[in-house]
Amino acid sequence: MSDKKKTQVEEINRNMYDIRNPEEYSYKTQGLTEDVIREISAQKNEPQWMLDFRLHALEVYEQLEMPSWGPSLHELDMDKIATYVKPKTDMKRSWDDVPEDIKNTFDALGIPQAEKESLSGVGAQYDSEVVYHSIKEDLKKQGVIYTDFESAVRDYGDIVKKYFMKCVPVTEHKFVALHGAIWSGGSFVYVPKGVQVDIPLQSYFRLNAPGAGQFEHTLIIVDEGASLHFIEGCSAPKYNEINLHAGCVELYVKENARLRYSTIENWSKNMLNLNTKKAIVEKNGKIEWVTGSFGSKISMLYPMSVLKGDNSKSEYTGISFAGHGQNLDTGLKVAHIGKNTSSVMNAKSISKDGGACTFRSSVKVTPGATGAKSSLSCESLMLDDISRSDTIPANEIETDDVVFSHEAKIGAISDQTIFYLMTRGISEEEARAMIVRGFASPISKELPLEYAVEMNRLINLELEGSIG
Amino acid sequence: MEKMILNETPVRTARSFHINNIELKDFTMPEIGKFENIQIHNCGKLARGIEIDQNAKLPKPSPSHSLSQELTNQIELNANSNLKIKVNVDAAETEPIMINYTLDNKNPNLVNHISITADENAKAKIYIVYRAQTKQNVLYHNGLIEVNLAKNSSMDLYLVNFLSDISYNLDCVDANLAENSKFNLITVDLGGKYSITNYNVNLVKSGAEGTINTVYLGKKDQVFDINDIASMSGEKTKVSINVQGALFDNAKKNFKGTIDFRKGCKKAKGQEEEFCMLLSPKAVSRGLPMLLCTEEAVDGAHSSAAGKIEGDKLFYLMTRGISEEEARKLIIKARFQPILQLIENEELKNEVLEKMRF
Repeated sequence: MSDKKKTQVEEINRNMYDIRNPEEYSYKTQGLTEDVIREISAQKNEPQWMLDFRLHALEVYEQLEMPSWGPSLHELDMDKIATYVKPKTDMKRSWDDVPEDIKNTFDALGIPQAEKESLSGVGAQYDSEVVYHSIKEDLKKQGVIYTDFESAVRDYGDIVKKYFMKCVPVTEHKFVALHGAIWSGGSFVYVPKGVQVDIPLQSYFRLNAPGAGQFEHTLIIVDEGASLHFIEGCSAPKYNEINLHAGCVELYVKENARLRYSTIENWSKNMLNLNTKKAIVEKNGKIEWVTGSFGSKISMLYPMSVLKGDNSKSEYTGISFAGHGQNLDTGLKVAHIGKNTSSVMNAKSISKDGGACTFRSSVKVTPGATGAKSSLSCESLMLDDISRSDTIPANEIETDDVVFSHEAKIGAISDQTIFYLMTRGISEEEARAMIVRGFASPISKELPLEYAVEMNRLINLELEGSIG
Repeated sequence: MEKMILNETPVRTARSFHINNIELKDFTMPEIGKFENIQIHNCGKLARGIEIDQNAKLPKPSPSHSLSQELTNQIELNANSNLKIKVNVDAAETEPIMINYTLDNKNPNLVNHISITADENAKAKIYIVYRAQTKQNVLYHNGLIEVNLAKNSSMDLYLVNFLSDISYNLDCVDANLAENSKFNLITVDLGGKYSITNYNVNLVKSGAEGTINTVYLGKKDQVFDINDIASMSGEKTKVSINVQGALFDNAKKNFKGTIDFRKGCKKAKGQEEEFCMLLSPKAVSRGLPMLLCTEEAVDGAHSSAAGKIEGDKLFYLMTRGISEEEARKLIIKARFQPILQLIENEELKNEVLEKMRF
């Protein structure tokens, strides 16, 4: 075996994500002050309760401290962040009505085509506002609501008021409070009792403006016995300034309901991705998280499953790929509260070219959560000696009637495995490539097909050389 | 009364996980007087290979991690027992050294600093046992053991905590391992209202090997906070951490285990395993088994598990005519056995088994 040749796992090809349009907007705010919040609320013509909510969140934001753990966020200066960038268009129901440069961007990202081929509804956000939203007629007829969040506040005020930031309260951490103060855009989904949405809905979030923040709010309610697969995609072109993403996702999975929430995160490498996601799962309900984290300069992202109802379930499948200049700190939090709940986590990470991946998790089994079962597995692959890979899994078990297990592995590609494959007539290069593909495949097979293809392209192996 | 924050993990995680450190509320640092209840056995045979100096002036302590700077300062300024142990190369044939500290009403507070060095190729086994001879008074132990092993040396260090369940046991070990040296730390942690321990193994040079094997048993309101840290920077170094415990009543345990693969530790191997048997619905187990890695060609693994005694094991034993209570005891003992059998001193092993009766 040659020690010198190295298989290169290529840097992610970002050409299609790096399309930049000239910065054009109809309205823009800078920084975070009470006046800025009043201006945003006025622009949106919001009800008073929402303005009051925003102002309260600002107070909480000012009281809370920055995290004392995880990647350094010293580059974040809220005074320099464009907190609200209203694009030069209103929301449209037809792609033909969307301004050409914006439409071209989403065309390049493949959104309209995916809508035709494999989605039952699409929301497309550009900077701070949703510019396109659609849903298939048959879903509408079944009572499914899928709309932009501003319209939801206006048209479904009572239901929004009941659920908005109750799952993720603004006191949870500093960036949730920030979100509560300046949220803009996002999607609202309601799936009525017993309705099975067989074809996924997808919201795509595109941030074009340099130095801007995106603070979209996603609220999904899957009512009793219903099911939904929701896909979230996000990207931005690269600039030299810091961009900020502090979205918030609140998911309510009612009795016997099922929700799969898939995310492909492909922000540019000047993005601080400080997103918050949480699902509350009722009796016999199930939440499935499928996550691919490839972009951003820094990510701190830990979706949370609150298994409130008896027999509720959570599954997490995630992969992170950190290259040069990236620090991806991701994982999952689970709280077992109901009886006989179960959680399964399967996480993988690949670090190369000085990139850093951290898997961080927390499993909490509360005193009444008897019969809880939790199993967690994470594997990390280091592709060179200038990168970093950490595993930081915490657990807190407060009842004896529980089965909890966690295992983690870290390492490079084993010579023994390569040797085994070579004894079967496979070349060394192909053997190494097979191992990396095999490492990622349990995750890619959980992704929607078009995203699995995209992920395989993102983790593009050059078979000439070798890893290790 | 004051608040003291101890035993920080090498890398912090979210505060809401309740495991970055442990806070002692309403704690008063005691006045440190004399401590005279120390016994060192096998001194006769020590003369040839091992030097022990009870009056040594030890250098300023500088552990790689510690329980807190305040406790390290107390050891530097107010230690009431200093021991310097030097193991020479011809100590290989000597009997193990047995050091007994007994805390009682006249000697309720022990602040001890122990420095252990081993020459090249030297071998030694050292037992250090903390006992309580009173159940009325709150006892206090703050200790630091600094171990430096030269090339090819080997040391087995046994720490046994038999303090009463209203005591404070605050203990730190910091071991630095040179080329091809071997260090085995075996600890049995049974005493203390709070038993807060910080064991560091620094595998600095190539080929060094270290193990940390811990058994703990918590009852009543006991709290165990265990912080094991293995820092690997030498090539082909190996480390293994194995922590097994059981919690009754309202007992709580925090296990923080870190294997840090640092730059230069190519082909290093590290593994950690933790299991906590929960024998009461009110017991609480927290765990944070961390792997940190900045080196490419390493092999690291950890596993952590918690739960009650498996029903099928109980059932199997009961079908063999064993009562449920006896079957439970057998299963718990079987968990601990691989670590307890490392204790070669039969008298001490029996004493441990006796104290572990439940």
